[in-house]
Order: sequence, then structure tokens, then C-alpha cells
Amino acid sequence: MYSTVIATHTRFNTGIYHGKLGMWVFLASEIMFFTGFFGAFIVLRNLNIEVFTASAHQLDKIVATINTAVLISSSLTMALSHLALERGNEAKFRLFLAMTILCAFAFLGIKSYEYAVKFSHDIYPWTNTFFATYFTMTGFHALHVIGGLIPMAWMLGKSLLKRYPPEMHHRVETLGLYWHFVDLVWIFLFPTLYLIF
Amino acid sequence: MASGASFEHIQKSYLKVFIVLMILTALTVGVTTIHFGDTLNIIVGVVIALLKAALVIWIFMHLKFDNRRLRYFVYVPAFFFLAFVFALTVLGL
Repeated sequence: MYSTVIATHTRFNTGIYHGKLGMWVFLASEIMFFTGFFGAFIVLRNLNIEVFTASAHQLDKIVATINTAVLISSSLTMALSHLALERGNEAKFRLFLAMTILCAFAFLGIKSYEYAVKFSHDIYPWTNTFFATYFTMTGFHALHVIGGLIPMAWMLGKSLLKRYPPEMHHRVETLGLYWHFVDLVWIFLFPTLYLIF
Repeated sequence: MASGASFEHIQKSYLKVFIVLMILTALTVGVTTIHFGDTLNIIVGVVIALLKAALVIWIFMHLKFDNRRLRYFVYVPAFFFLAFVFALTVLGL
């Protein structure tokens, strides 16, 4: 208990607790990580505009729009789940966290369906440079979704089996920061890959 | 987080952000059926994405309620991201 209080105590020199500062440093590096992919996408597109335009039209906009809605919903439930725990309502925290997990699985399911349709049409990462970047970007994004699912499942399991005390709401907030970032990446991937080019 | 505000108040503001995000998603899909010309379509798509990103960062990620200095963790990499993407796009146009 004592260590939890210390670990989440707001520092006077930075104004925030260490977990949050650490997550923001990590997210800043993540922005640069994905910037590399966007850079590669733009450079390759500039060299093969016809290929990119034709290939982008082969993507399923409707399915991607549904997936965008699913991911935005998961961001809402994640924010609500933290709010509930912060205010001491552990049952509501579990409910919203479970909804977030469901949305994450729905997203991955829809993404797998999209990939399966592409594979059945003989479209693979090595088909052309557009699909190479498409599979790399969405693949790394999906890995991030899986990466978020693991601590979420752990938190839900802990809350169901024992307790997840409201004093630990900072951990949920930190995980939420990561989760909203995953949503953020998709917000940029969606128009870049499916809509504007 | 603005701990002074009530649960219902914050929940309501999250719901509002969610609704705006959904509207912006519908809008960004909707405008692709209109052809403003290639460059303008790209600009519209990017502007809507930036608006959505700002809402997520500001409200869901609590940056509005956090330490001001923390905001540089967003501003600095976001600046490089935008400068990089903008430079590459302009070079190719």
C-alpha cells in the first residue's frame, strides 16, 4: 500500500507521477516510430502514384469505417473505465474495461477479416509497394492493439479475482494514455490508406 | 484530471467528444465522394484527422488538465511529424 502511494505520488519537480511521465516519453518515441512509416508511405507514393491510387481503391472503405467507429468507442469506454475507478466505483470500472476489451477484439476480428479477403484475392505484402506499406502499417498498429489487450485483460482478471483498488487508478490512466495513442495512430492511418489518396 | 468536477459532468464531456469524433469520421468518409481536386482532398482529410487527434489528446488523454510542461511531449514530436510529412508531400507534388 505504502509503495503504491509513493509510486503514484505527484512529483513537485515535474508536476506528474512517474508512470505518466514515462508513458509520455514512450509515446513521444512512438510518434517518431510511426512517422517513419508515414514518411515511407509518402516517398513510395510519390514514386508510384498510379499504383498507389489503383491499389488504395481496392481497400474496403466501409469495413474500415466500421473499424474506426469500434476503435473510437473503445477509447470512450477506456476513458470512462478510468473515471469510474478514480471515483471508487470498481464495478463500473470492470464493466467499461470489459467493453474496451470487447471492442479491441472486435477491431482485431474485423482487421483479420479484411486481411483474409485480401489474401483470397491474391493480394499479399509483396504484391506491390502500396500493399507492402499497407500491411506494415496496419500490422504494426494491430500489434499495438494486442499490446494494449494484455495489460487490460490482466487488470480485469485481477479485479475479478481479487480487487483493483481505486488507489491504483493511475495505472489505468497510464494504460489509457497508451490506448488513446493507438486510437490516434488509427485516426491518421484511416484517411491516409483508405480515403485521401 | 479535473478532480473538482462531478462524475456525471466528466462523463457527459467524454460522451460529447465521442459524438464529435463519430461525426468527424462520417464527415471524412463523406467528403471523399466529393472531388475538390487531389490536393484539396488531401488537405481536408488531414485537417479532419488533426481535429480528431486534438480532441483525443486534449480530453481523453487529459492533457487539458495536466501540467503545462507535459504538453511539450506532444508539441515537439507532433511538430517533427507534421514538418516531415509536409516536406515529403510538397517535394512530391
